[in-house]
Amino acid sequence: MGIHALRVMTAVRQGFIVARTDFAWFYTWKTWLGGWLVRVLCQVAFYSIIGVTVGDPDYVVHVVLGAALMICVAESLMTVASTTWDLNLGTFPLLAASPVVPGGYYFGRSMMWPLSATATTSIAIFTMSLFFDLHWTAADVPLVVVLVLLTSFATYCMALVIGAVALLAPGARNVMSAVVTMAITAFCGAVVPVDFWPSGVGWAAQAVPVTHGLNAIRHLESGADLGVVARSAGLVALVGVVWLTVAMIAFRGLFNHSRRGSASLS
Amino acid sequence: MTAAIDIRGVTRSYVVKGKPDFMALKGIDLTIPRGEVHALLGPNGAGKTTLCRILSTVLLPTSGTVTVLGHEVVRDAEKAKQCLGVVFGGDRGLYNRLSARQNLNFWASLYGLRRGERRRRVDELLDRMGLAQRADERVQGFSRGMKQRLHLARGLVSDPGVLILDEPTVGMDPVAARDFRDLVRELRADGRTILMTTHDMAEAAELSDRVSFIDDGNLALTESPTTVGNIVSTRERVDARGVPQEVRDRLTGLAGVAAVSETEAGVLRVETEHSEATRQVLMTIVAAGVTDVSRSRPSLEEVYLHLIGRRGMAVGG
Repeated sequence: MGIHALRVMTAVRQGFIVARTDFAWFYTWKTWLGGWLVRVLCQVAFYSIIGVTVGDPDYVVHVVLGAALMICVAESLMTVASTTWDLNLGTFPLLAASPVVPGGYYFGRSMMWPLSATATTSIAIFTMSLFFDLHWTAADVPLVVVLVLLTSFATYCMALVIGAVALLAPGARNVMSAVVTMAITAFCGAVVPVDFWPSGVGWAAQAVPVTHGLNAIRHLESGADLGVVARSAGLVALVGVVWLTVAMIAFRGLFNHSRRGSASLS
Repeated sequence: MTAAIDIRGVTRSYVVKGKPDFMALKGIDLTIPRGEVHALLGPNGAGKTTLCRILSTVLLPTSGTVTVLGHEVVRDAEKAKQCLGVVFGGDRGLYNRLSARQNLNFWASLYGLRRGERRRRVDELLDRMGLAQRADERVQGFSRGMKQRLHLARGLVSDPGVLILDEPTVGMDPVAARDFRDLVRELRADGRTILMTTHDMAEAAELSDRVSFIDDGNLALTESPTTVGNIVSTRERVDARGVPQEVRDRLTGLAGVAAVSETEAGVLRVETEHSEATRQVLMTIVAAGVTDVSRSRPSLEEVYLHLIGRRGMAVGG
């Protein structure tokens, strides 16, 4: 392993230690299960019941999976806020003065969110499936979890880019994540099919990982050929890698920007 | 031998919307040899922290060059970072939810220390800073003094040749500040080069081999604390209480009287330029029947005030 790769791995690992500690500070197992998970299930159930009132069984499936995957988006987008926490802690200038690989550190720094998102979304999908008549084979179960994991991490990579922007305007971090969550919910096929919108919006939605993640899981639920599922999953991974590359460049650029004397980063 | 820190013609300006650029540093030249403890003194906004940030590679200079142990901090920043330990003052800069040991492990890993070396180094620093007993407790429960000691340990984790301490004792109680000064003395005995900014004149006089006075982005003077005292030793000071106004007016007009002022405690302070003037001032005051009189030489603090002016509380520019 090259020296740079080793430094990247070290930065990711150390970032993850901070992430794990922060997460343990927010949640115990009891509060995660009894607070966060219950809230999430209620939200998915709420949207799913709206689907039932429409009276179309296919639309119920569409909404149950859409609402569940939106949890994965919302939780992964918490990264936008946690990316700015080093500014409040005063550790940002110390990181800038250290030999850290910025993108590696930030990739580890908020990793608790996509991991938690994978758990909550998977539980939501399987729990709501019991109540809203969605069917999975035993072989589907691990595939669903893998697809949710993939979508969570790809969304996480996108959130890192937004987080990098939020470092320049930390006061607007919550507004940024709220606006992005709202736009994704509206335009990426969670509740309303993507082709409902003008073609420009549809094209923009292709840059969002969850658009392809939803396709993959819906194909799987409908019993489509695994090749079709794999194609959508490949698109999730591809879009995620693009976002990750942009994130790495953005964090390097931010550290250079801070050296030039950015007021928000000093 | 290469200087530990070499600063040549460093300027730093900031763009301020709708105003001319603000010059935080206006051409600083300073060379600090290896093993020296150097104090940087100056009022708020004088440029001390800007200079520290440039040295620690966090900020780019607008012009000029800075080398740390032979590594230029702009072109060769990665190598310069490996030679530098940085300690910014105050409560911030630690991961409060991690333990002291986890904090040190974090930074030691980023500086590339391997597992065995890291464990040994972290244990040694925790012990040296008196934090070994609470090494596995969360930092958020630490006192300010303990946090500052942890900051110092963090700055030393990569065993740097040059240590930059920016206001390291700010906000500490006197006991914690004294302990911290003892630690700095130990580091000096290790042969490390230390550059520290401080507002505490006693601290600067006690710890440093040389002091630099910085004001409004310019270096006003660089000397040893003793030499600085000698430079202004021709100046003397007479303090008196209960001096009538007409006598005060006469004192102002005496030859060799540099300044007449009143301290916050209501003491009349007359600064003179030579001993003959001091004699004349004393005679005038005593002749007026005033008996509460004392004479002294200026402290480093007064030298500071003399050089910088009474703007310690003001923010320059």
